[in-house]
Amino acid sequence: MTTDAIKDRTGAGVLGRTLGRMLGRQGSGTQFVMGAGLLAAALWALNGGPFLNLVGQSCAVYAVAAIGQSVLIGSAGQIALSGAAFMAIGAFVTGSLAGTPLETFPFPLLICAVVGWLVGLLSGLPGLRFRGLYLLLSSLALQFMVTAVTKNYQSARHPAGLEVPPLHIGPLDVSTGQSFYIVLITLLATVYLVVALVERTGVGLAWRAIRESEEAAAVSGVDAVRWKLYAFAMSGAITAVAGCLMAYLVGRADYETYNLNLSIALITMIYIGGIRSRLGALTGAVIITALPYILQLRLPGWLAGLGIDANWYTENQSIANAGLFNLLFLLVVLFEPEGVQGLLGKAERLLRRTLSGRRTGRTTESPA
Amino acid sequence: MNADSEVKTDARRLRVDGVDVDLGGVRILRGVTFDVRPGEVFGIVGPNGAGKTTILNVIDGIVRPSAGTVRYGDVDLCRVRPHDMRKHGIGRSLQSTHYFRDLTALQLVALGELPNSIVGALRFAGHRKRRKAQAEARDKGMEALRQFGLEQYANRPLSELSSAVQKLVDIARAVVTGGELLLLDEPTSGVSGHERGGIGEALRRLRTLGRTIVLIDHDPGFVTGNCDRLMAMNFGEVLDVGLPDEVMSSEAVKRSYLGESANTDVGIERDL
Repeated sequence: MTTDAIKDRTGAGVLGRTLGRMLGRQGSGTQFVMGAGLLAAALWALNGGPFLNLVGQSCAVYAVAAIGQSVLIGSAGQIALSGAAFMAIGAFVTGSLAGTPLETFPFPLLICAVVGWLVGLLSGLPGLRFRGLYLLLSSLALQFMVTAVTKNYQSARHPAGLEVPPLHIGPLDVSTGQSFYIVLITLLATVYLVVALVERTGVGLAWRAIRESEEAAAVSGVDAVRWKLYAFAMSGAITAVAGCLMAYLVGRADYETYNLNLSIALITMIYIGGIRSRLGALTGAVIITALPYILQLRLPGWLAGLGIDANWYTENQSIANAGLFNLLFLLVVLFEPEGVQGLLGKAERLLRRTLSGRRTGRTTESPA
Repeated sequence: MNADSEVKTDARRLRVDGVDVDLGGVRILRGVTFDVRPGEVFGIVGPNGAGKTTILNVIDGIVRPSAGTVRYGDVDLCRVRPHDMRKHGIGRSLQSTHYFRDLTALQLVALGELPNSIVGALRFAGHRKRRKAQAEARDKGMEALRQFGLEQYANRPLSELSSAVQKLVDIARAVVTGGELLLLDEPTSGVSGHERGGIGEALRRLRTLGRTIVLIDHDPGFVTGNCDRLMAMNFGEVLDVGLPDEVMSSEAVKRSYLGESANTDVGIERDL
């Protein structure tokens, strides 16, 4: 290949360009900070005693669910409020497998993934016709249908909820504490890697194209219908797996857990962390899951320090927290639509500009 | 996937025959008939709302006609899905290039090289194979960008580029995805007069390469100056087809552009 000055700069070797892009790209610093922060938090929760283990377990379960939602909403740009429905499906599948030969560990997880995939595929069919508000309404319909079905099933067969046996892997009891936490983190990492791999095969780019314009994507040769359905299916499978893990965490499946509020909380997670990436979903899940624990422990003390009576908060905690999350969600959407990742990205851009300002001025290209 | 989809025969003619399009009870196209010969630039002019873009949408499979046929060679295009058009050598540029703001020019041009099935995606899953496939897609994309002198924009997001460059990138994408038959939708809309030259030049180059081109533009001067044959339309009907000068000097066409109560003469209620 002949190279003149311009070609040399843009058409350089694949390796050199990839490396240069990884280090020099705006956003890589943000990703590093978020990744390192999450890793530190995960390690802290691992060695912080039973209570932190418990918080970490919830964080991990919700993080899986948040990844499931971010595949559909963040990557493929679809809109849905049925995350809790898929978690309910996972939890109830796990609950109803209890006592059958299939209750041995990997099976409930795999069956949940398959069922979630199929229901997700079904839930994507309206997405081929509807967009925006109508798609949102069809996902809400799914949410209420699942709630109705699980409620009836539960009150007819297991009024106190479906019991889920403690988690065993082979002969090992990994149902509590550090060991359960390690299992959850391993599964979370697996889900994260699988999604990252899938997106790297070009599916991620196809989803991005669909997110921006379905018609333009189709014209460019992207099978919009197919990849859209796969986004629904994959999101369903991952979210159902999260439901399965949730059932193991709580020890039972109860329809009341998986209501619309949970769906909204999942959406809040991915928006607060950063809608555009998996890392953002993880960060949001950790923030939204850990925040109530922090508030519960610390807020009454802080309020007392200010001379305010904290009784109202402690008595109405769930409502107060829900209100707080909705407020947070609103603030994020209004002021920083890219969430924590967007904020860090801005800081990074500022830092890069300051640093590069010290060196020579950047060469600018004039349009042809 | 049928076997003949991979076969590309030369010298194919595009025939649009008696196409009607109804959308939401409104007739957008009425009995549109024309054919495009291999290697020619076929221009379509008409005022806003005449149905120009809808014709391209019908050829491209985005809009299905309620009557009539569209054939390219021996392929019935009404049965081909939009993303499969590239297999038949049909590429399409878009009226608005503001769709893909996040993607870089290279990513946009290489979109058509993405796998379109799970099996196809799995082939990408192996590290080395993905590298190879991605390198191929990148090379193909860079080649297309180079054809239009756009290689310096390869890694910049589209939203950072000027609208003239965006248009050229979009045309490059159409060339990569299709190749033989290009449907160019308003390549000069939103482009300043002095930058139109670059787009005209790209068009002439494609023409010398023997591509068949269907060209739409709201600027009749640009179309007539760059096409072999011209079709004028208004209110979803064909007014005239022929050599550019003849068509532009015909009475009906003049009237449609000068707006002399054309709707009563043509006899169609105003649709949009």
